[in-house]
Amino acid sequence: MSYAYLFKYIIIGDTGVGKSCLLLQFTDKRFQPVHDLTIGVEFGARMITIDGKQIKLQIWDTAGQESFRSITRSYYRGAAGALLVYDITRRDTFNHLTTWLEDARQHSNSNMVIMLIGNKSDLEARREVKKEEGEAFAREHGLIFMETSAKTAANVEEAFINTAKEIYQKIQDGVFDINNEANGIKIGPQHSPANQNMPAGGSGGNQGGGCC
Amino acid sequence: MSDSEDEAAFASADEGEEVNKPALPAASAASGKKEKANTKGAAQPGAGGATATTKTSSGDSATAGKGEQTKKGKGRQQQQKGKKKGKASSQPSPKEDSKTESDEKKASDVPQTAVKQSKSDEDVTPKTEATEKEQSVPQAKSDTSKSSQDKEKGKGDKSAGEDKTASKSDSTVSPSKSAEVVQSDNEPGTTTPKKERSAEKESVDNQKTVQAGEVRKGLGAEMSSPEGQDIPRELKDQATPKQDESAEKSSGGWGWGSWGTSILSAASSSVQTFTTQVGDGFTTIIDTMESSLGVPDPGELAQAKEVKEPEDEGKSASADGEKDTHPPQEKSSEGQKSSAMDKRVPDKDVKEKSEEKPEEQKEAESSSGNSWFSSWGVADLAKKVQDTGKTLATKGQTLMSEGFDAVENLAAGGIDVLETIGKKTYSTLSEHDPALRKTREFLSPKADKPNLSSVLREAKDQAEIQAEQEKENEEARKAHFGTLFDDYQGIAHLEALEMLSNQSEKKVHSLLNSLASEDLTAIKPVLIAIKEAFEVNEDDDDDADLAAKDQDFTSLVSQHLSELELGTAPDKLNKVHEMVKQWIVDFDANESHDSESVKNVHQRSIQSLAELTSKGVEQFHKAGELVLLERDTDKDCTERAHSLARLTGVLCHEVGNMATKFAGCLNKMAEQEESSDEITALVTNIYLEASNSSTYLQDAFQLLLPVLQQAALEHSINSRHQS
Repeated sequence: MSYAYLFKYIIIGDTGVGKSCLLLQFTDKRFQPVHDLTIGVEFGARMITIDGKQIKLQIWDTAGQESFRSITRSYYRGAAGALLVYDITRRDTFNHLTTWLEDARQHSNSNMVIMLIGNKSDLEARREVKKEEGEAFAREHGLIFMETSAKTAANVEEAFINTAKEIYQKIQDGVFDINNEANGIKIGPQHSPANQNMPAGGSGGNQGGGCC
Repeated sequence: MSDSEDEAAFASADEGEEVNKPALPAASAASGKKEKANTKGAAQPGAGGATATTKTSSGDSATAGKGEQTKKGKGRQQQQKGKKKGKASSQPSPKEDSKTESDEKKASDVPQTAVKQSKSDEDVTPKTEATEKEQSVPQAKSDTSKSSQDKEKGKGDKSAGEDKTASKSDSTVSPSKSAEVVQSDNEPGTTTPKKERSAEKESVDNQKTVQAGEVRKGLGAEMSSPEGQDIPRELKDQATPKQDESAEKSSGGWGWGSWGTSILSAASSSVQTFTTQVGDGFTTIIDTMESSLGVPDPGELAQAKEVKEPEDEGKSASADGEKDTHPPQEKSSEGQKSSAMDKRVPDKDVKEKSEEKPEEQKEAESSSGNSWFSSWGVADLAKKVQDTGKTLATKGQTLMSEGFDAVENLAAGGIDVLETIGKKTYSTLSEHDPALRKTREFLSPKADKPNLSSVLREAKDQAEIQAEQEKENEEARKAHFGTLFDDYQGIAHLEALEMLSNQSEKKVHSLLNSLASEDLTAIKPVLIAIKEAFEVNEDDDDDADLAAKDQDFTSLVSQHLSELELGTAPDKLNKVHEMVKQWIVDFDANESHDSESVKNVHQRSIQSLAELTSKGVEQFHKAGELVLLERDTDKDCTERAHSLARLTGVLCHEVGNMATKFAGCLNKMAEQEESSDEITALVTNIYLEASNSSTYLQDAFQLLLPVLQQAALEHSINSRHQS
């Protein structure tokens, strides 16, 4: 499907906070209680609509393991939005936020929209980090804040879409240079040659797409 | 001409028509006068000459001419106003002609009173004349009267237009129709282009051209100074702008009178020749027309002129006038056709002349402007002119008025003829073309006129096409390798791998720079070995022995991956491979491939290729990440490089295998179906995408080179530190 914009997201945060589950919930609308450890980076994509425009979200789900840090850092570049995730049932994941934030700020463009997400909100009984703390941290660092549950899908959609809205607004305000792909925004291939390269279905076109 | 212009032309023509109306009396007065002359000439051959002989002396003529000019001046001004309103005046030539014509005619029936008298007659005479002519003309009309010719005639002859306008007032023909015909003539802005157009048409129609040429030749022979006639017709086009220019000048040239006196003296001689020429031309025309249409013998008319002209100025025109009588008679048999051409020809002649002597014309114009001025009562100016005592100036004035008389004569004689022609033309045209619809369409092409329904239809068609295209695109998307490759996250993995590779490359450079020279010599062979491992692969040597052979993909991939010792399992790759394999087995098992359309098989094949490629790229990406992650292991990077190279070979070979299998499926279907051409195209597409797929895999593999080099460097540095 054609889209007006493509936004690149990265999901960062300590291992086990539920990054891959959030992605799976957002892209496949399903929850997988047991998830393989992410190696390096995994990907997900979904189309959303903002202001009547089709926007494709290309989400890079990074490995949270400390050992992968050096590798995942290289993927920050060119992200328009970042979901910084912590686990409300594990205070240490909240405590590491500053390091993650520094990393993100250092390795990505300064206009990157960062959404702070306190995941596993369904596990209210085991909560270690109050919502207010999260809000305070977000306010302090100029982030958007939201508590989500990948399990119940609460706020998952909103977390991704609100981030996209923020990015979209920044585009409208001219903060983002959409022609600079380092900003993590690509203009859709609606009228790009990509479509013309597609072989006409019936006639069995003989033109192959793809780059070399 | 665009439609809007056309409409504008229509509008302005209407305007012009209205404006012309006040001028009609003057014109018809002239016509009446001429009629008188004509009838006189016809009824009493001798009397015409007699009238001519009674002509005033030169001294009288000056005053009489003046007086007449005053009157004519009004009429003319009105005319000009009408012209101006119509846009820009475009017919200086007719004007000029009218002057000269009237000049000549004046000699025969100068007295102003006579004009006035005839004015009262006018309402009667033309009608009777018209009826007369209707009787005499029919043969001409019944001739051919091609619609195109008629149109041309209508376009080409300004006087015809005037005539029709005049006739409109008393003719019973539907006014709007005749007005329409007139429009093109009356509307000055359009006159020129239309003339040109008619010229073009002429060139298209050989017959017509020949006739026109004949006529022109005849005229040329008759002309006292024939230089003008030899000018190629194409030049007319060039002449027209000039004409316009001069016309503009004349219209704005009312003020020229102030300095016109000086020009006048210089110009008068040339004006004289010019006037003579024009006059001659018109005499010829009148004669030709009248004779061909059965109008009273022009010879008498010419004789009348003859008598007075030599007397008057000793012009050579009289001789021409006599000569003129012959060719027209010859042509009279040609009937209406030739008469139409004849009528048009004078315009061209005049144009040619004007082209030839634009300056002269301008001067003449200015001088005429001057004379108008004086006759209008700008006393000092008139006095000045007279005070200079230059008889030439007076002569010029006389010439002007004479010319005008001639035109009036022409107009009067022509008006009735043309009216008849117009009527007949209309009836002939409308016989085959009710309401002149075709003609109108022809005259005002509506080709590019946007109309709402067509616009809407177009929009609808476009929307349909777009929807269809979108659907097609959606269909195509299902079989588009690049899109599918993206859907399977192949592009993302490739992009991520590229980022990783770039980062590694930077790191390698910085590490190499930081290394001591002996360390560098130690590590160099390793780096070179890794590089060689990556180069070998490009020869596809692995494929050579495996070619066309079904390889045990799963085991080979597993083997190579385990050699990497990265702890990655080729689950995804194997899954895709199994899926494809199963599908092909199912396809082969099913003898009648009814359930599968050719398109579906193609889609399936491209999809499989894209998926396998994506997973392959992902495998390389993961391998790269893990190589960097597990940099501390003792595993030799060169070995890993070779393993990866072999893996690439296996993957590429598998891609080729898959393409062959799918192509086989399609070819099997081609045997059953007729659409083999389509299938051939699809098979080609599969092989093309397979090569694309291999390229992606090779690229992914090549991106691992810096990663492995970085790992090797870091490993060597680490071990050195440890030891």
